[in-house]
Amino acid sequence: MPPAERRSVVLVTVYAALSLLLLVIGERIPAAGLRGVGAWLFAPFDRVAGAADRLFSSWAENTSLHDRLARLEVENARLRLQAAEAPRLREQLGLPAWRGLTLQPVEVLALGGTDPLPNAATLSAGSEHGVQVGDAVLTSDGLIGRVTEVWTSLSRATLITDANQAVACEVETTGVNGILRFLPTPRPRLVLSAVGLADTVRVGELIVTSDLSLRFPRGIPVGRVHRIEHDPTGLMQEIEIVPAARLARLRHAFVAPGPRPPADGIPRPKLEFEPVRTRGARPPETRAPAAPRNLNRDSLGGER
Amino acid sequence: MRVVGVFLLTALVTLVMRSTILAGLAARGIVVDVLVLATVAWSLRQRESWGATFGFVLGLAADLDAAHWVGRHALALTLLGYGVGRLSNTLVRDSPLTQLVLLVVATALHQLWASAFDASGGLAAAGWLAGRVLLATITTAPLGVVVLLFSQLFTRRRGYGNASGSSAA
Repeated sequence: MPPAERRSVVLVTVYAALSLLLLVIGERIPAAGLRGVGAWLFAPFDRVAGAADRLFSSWAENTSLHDRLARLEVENARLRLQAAEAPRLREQLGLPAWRGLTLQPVEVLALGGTDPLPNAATLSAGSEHGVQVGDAVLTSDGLIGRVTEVWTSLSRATLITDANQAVACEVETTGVNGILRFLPTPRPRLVLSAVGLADTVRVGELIVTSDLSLRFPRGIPVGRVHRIEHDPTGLMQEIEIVPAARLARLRHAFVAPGPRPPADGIPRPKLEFEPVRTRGARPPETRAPAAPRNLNRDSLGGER
Repeated sequence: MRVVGVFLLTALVTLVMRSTILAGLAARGIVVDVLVLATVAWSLRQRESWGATFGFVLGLAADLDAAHWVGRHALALTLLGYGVGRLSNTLVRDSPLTQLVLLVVATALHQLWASAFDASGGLAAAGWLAGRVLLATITTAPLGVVVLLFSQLFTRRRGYGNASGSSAA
């Protein structure tokens, strides 16, 4: 065997052995630091590629944003009227008060793991912007994932399309609980599992994050019921969900603080989710009766 | 030294495209296996040693990005890079037909291998997997041939040579 050929055989053997070793022990490698370095190195290039993509689609996007703005203004006026009485009704019913979450606007720089769908996203904000592991990541349409790695100026979110991600959800109208998972095969889809056969769920109903979730604030839209089937055991329902957020077009998102453990260690009931403010915006004035706030999911951020 | 520069540039462009433009297409169901495309193109030009190295580096970067099953892309692309590099010694590398066949086989193998890690659901999954492999193959292979053609035109030389080894690389 010629020396050059021998060298290439040795090389490919070493690479193959390394790859196999990584397949066996890869989950135990602390790869978050490596990903952080990679994200930092690639961020400028991702920004350039993203800017070019935005430039091409800005005209169409501008038109749709104008339409959306007009619709939301009409909707906002209606909601202001309804929101004025909500605090009084909640007080009479003994329900916990609304809490306004601070939404940190971020840019989605890159998507990762495209097998078969992107299951992670690199975000343009990190610990220096107040982002922490566990924070929820959402768009104006709904939930897209959760922050799982945080670096100084960047962070990484695991999307709901990651097969290892599970989200406790409920049907908005009936409160039926289930667990949202992504199943890559036999075809990639989001499924709400662990729903009893006796529970009534209808096609088209909205699925939101549940109060039972330890990771996400309550009430973030996740998707709508698309199809209802029995699971393989025949004992539970398996409900296919169409995601609320447009995962094929992720450019801007918001980071919302996830539930934090209380400093004194005493658990308290969770407050309901009311996304009204973006970080850096002036807080609403407090006066009696309370200033009307947007309660509709369309009012999460506005900008896409 | 020039080879290393082109190596890094090609890997960078491939990974940036994969995580930006192509990720958006993948979410719409249009899968372009740019990892295979780049590995095959590089291996045709630089032969087996560089082909295996390029495949390993590119695959490892993709694995770290995906966070699960680290090593699956690295192993597949290393072997593909080596295989295509070896074959390039005996094939007419400038022929679009040769490039098309290599890209079809390489894409199908890589997609099957990568999908196997997510596979569940028995026969029901087989249809979807076949569809995914077919879709990735029919998008990647013709696109790859066009990219290789442009690459040759851009460099204004016969960068890929033929079986006799008359490569200008």
